[in-house]
Amino acid sequence: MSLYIPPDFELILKSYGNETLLFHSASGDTLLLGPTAVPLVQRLRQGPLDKQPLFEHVAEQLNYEVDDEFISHMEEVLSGLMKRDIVAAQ
Amino acid sequence: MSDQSYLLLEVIRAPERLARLSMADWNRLIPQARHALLLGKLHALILEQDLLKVLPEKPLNHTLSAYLASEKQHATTAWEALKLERALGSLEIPLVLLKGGAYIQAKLPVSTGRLLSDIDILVTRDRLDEVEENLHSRGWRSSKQDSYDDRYYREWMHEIPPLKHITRGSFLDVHHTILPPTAKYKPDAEKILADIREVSPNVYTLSPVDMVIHSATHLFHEGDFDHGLRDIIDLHGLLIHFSDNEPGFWEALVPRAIELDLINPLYYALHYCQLILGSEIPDFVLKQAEKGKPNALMSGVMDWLFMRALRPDHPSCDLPFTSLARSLLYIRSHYLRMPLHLLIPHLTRKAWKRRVAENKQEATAGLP
Amino acid sequence: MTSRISDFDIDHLHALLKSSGLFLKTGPFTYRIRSSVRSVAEGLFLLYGQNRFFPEMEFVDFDIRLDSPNSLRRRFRPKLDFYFDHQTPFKPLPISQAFAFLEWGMNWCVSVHMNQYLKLHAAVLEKNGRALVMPAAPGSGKSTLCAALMLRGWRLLSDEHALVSLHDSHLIPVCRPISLKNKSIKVIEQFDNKALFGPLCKDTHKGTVTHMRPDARSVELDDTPVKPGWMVFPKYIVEGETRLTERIKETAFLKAGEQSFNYSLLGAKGFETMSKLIEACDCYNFSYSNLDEAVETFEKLSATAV
Repeated sequence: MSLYIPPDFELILKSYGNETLLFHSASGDTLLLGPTAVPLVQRLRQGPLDKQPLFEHVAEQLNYEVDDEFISHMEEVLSGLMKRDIVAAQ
Repeated sequence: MSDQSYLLLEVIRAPERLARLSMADWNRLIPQARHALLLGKLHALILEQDLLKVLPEKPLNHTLSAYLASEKQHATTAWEALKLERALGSLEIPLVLLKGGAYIQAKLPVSTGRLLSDIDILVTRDRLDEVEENLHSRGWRSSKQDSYDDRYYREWMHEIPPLKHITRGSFLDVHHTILPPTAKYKPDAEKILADIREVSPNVYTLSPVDMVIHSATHLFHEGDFDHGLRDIIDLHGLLIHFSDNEPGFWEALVPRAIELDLINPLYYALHYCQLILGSEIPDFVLKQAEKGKPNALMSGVMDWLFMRALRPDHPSCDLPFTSLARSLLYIRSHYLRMPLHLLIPHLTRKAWKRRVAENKQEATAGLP
Repeated sequence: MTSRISDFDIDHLHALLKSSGLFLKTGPFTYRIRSSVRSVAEGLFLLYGQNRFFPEMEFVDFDIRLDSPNSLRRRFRPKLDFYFDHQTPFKPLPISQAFAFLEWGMNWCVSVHMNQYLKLHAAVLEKNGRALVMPAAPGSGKSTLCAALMLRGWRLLSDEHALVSLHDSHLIPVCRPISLKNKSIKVIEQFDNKALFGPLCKDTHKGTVTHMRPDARSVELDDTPVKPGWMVFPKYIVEGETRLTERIKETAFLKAGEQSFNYSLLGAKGFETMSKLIEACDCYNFSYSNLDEAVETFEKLSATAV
């Protein structure tokens, strides 16, 4: 399953050094991204990626181990982002 | 038209006048445009005429303000259309947008700066229950809690009670035909749906001729003249656009209206577009449309009613008897869509409901 | 040519309000105000004396009128309607609440129109060339704090609307009387006897309401925008300690967005403008009960202006 950011929906990210705000132009929503969501979104902005390497990328960025707990957390983050149409699957 | 009260109309007909307005003129124009829901449209006209740098800043703040609101509505409409396409797509039903939503998604020039209050879609009657159920599961709920209202809509109207989304707060009207089943004219929704145009994957609008006929029908049979001038401007904009971009449009227009049993509202639309906005309509079309012209007496009465009702709802441009004209129209359109014995109790009920639930807010409401 | 409202005498002002109306300028807006109600003339005379008005025809942003809808009603139970361009957006209110009704109506005009600014429900003051923006929900003690700071020399930009320029995120003043209600009225009276109040309106849906006159300097500078400096979220806590704590900007952003009238309407423009505003502000939470201590805290804060 390849994940991507729908190209029509502009995303603006803003951080003042603590957390990250995301403005989703299509829905007009402003969200505060959790620490694991930030590298996920940033990575997908560079191009589509499958779920497994994506999760591994996030883990590497944050120095986490890819264990069951991490994967189930990431699944939750991903489903939240997909529900809001920030990330889509094809 | 030298009557000062027609300033909004004068400016719409001759936008070059904008550069020559006095402050007193602006003080009349802005409230007129606000009440006609045409402030955003006025701004679009100013942009089109490239007058932004020439005109005084203070009145422009008002047109800009409304224009920004309309841009937000356009973005919201696009987003809602996407959500609706998913809902209907899951049932393998095409999303057919009507009115403002259709103008926006089809990127018609008439949509620029235009405000809308809800999104209207058309679904065949036999799939209505499925659609309603699916929309319900996606957060669309009936905004009519009153069972009388609910029953009234379901029995006598061409749409189900308006839906409101529980988180996004947007309004949706689901139509299953374009006139109530009890109306005098009986257009066939199937014929209209057979001719829809795809504007993006699985998103459709009516065909150009049907769009014009529907807009005309809506204006001249709904009794909703609050935005009469805006609606006639929409019609004018559609005619101009399709005339320039849609080969065969004029040839198809009247025959289609006759086929749909809607020649009468089309006659009015063409007649008043020409009269009020000076729309250029080919002679042969006007001649064909004469079929929908009422007798001389009725024509005279209609002219009297419509010319008064098609004004911004503002005291500075009311002729005597305007409010009488509006209420006569309201009764007339109800008469057109309901048998008489149904008409009386409903009007009484409506008047009573208005008294008990006046739609006003506390003076401090409007906080974020 | 403009003059000040205090150039009138009150009878003259009342006569004007009853006829062609008063063309009142406040910040970037011009109101045309008409009313035959005497307390409206009194309130305007007292609280807007320093404001300018236009004797000639100017562009009118908001054409408003406060009057009884018909003579029959007037004879029995005098209720007033607020007219905006001849429409009545509100339920009528008793004549005893006339001045508060006018103020609420004037606020509403700005809240629902004027999207050429990012608008926050916030008090805005200035010290050392920087703006203090205090977004808050009703009941948070924002107006009380705002009144106290003005009485101690802060310049008032607004007690109700932070108007943020979409071009540079500077704060546009719209200096009008400060609305105080219930216990706050006594608190401010005791805080400083210089405080000057307009008509007292009892039994409104917000309780007892009155308005306090802004100082002459604030009104004088009503056309001068200010660079943002601090964003503070105030909270009155009964007998609570005075406490100013820094908060991270990302959540301040969201909290300010919640207190905005049109953040969402402005879409990406709203996001960009809010980003710049927050960027330029140091952000804090503030809780208090003692006004003297509160003023002292803000005094120290104002010294950090860069």
